[in-house]
Amino acid sequence: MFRNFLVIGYLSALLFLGVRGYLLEDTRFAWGMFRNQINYTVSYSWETESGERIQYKSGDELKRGEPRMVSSRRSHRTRYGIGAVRDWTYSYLKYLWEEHRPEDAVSLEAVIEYRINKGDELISETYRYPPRRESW
Amino acid sequence: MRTLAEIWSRFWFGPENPRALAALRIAWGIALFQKVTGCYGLYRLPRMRFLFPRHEYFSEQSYPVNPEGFSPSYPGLGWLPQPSFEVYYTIENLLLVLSILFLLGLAFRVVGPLTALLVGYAFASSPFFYHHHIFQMAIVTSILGFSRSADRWSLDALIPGVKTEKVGLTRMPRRMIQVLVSIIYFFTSASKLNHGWLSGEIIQLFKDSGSFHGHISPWILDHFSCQALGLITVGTEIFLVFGLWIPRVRILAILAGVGLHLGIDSMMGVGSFSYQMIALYVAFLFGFPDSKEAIHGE
Repeated sequence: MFRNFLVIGYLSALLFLGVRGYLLEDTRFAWGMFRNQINYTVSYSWETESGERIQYKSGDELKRGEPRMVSSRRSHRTRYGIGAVRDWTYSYLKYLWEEHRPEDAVSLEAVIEYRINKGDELISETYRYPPRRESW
Repeated sequence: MRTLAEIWSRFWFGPENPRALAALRIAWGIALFQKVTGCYGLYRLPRMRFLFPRHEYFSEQSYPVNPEGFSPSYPGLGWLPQPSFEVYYTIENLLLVLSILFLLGLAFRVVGPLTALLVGYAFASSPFFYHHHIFQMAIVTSILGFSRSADRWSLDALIPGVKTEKVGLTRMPRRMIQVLVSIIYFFTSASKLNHGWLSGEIIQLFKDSGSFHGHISPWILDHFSCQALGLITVGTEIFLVFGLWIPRVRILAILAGVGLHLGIDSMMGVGSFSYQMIALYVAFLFGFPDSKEAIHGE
């Protein structure tokens, strides 16, 4: 019996991850290698209690390796899909909120601007932390 | 007529030839060894360097785990300690030794699970260690490491007194790997059925962004249009989803797959993924025995 559950669990996990990645456009765990190239930039701003917006430039917290994929200091490209960029950005928002939040900040916003492959269309998406119902 | 339950049971748990599983372990052991020594990337020829182990994947500057900065964990895996740069190097050193023992099948009951755990840990400790080939390495090393893939063609099998069980080996490990290979090709080809690949735009983009390297790339890019390269890639991957399962075209499928992966490895850096896929074709090279008697007769 156990071995049947093992096989069914294995198959379910592989199929779930594949379908999830396809739908979320995040090819990590989903074997969607090189689906497309996302060329993007990310910018961040704190919103204060008074409604003021203060731009945040990424600092030393991203000084090494792959985490720099969410830096606001340069443009990036990835072949893991826009879903991966959203996931990295959201993790980074959460980190900034917990570790670098100014005292009077009420939210942190990230704007991702990207093109798919050589596409003419520049797509813009906005995310906030803490999340609001309509954005996540 | 056999019932669905019997077909399921026979497909996954019918008798297995231990030599087929041993061949797969050896092929995978070579791929692991290639990974930890950097013996891949034909595009790097003739400048390719073999390092024992390969300490070029991360330099101290590019190492993605930064305890003082942004260093996220996978959801639910925050409890897993993230390795420091020094610990990661130690893991690589250990993996070099373990990959050799894995390949030779020595002390496999310890080496197999330990290799799987170390690869799994290195993979799971940070989302920024994610690469498709490392993900695949964690899955396959776990399947083979926890199975009896060293019952034959191993040093364990040669050492008097080391007991190997001779009954009860099922097809499950090899079937899991066969299914994994098909799922990889299915999802990777399905995700490429888009304008970028079918028009060749993505190949042009790789070309423009300097992703192609090596001596063969210019010749291939001169003789094939970007659209032709896109279509060949997608067509081959679709063929591999089915071709590996059909005995009449299996050899053709394997040759097409080897050609595709060596072609990619000659043109761009994809880690050791090409050699890992080629190693996994071994899962399709051997038939399954009809009965347990056939195994004992060998």
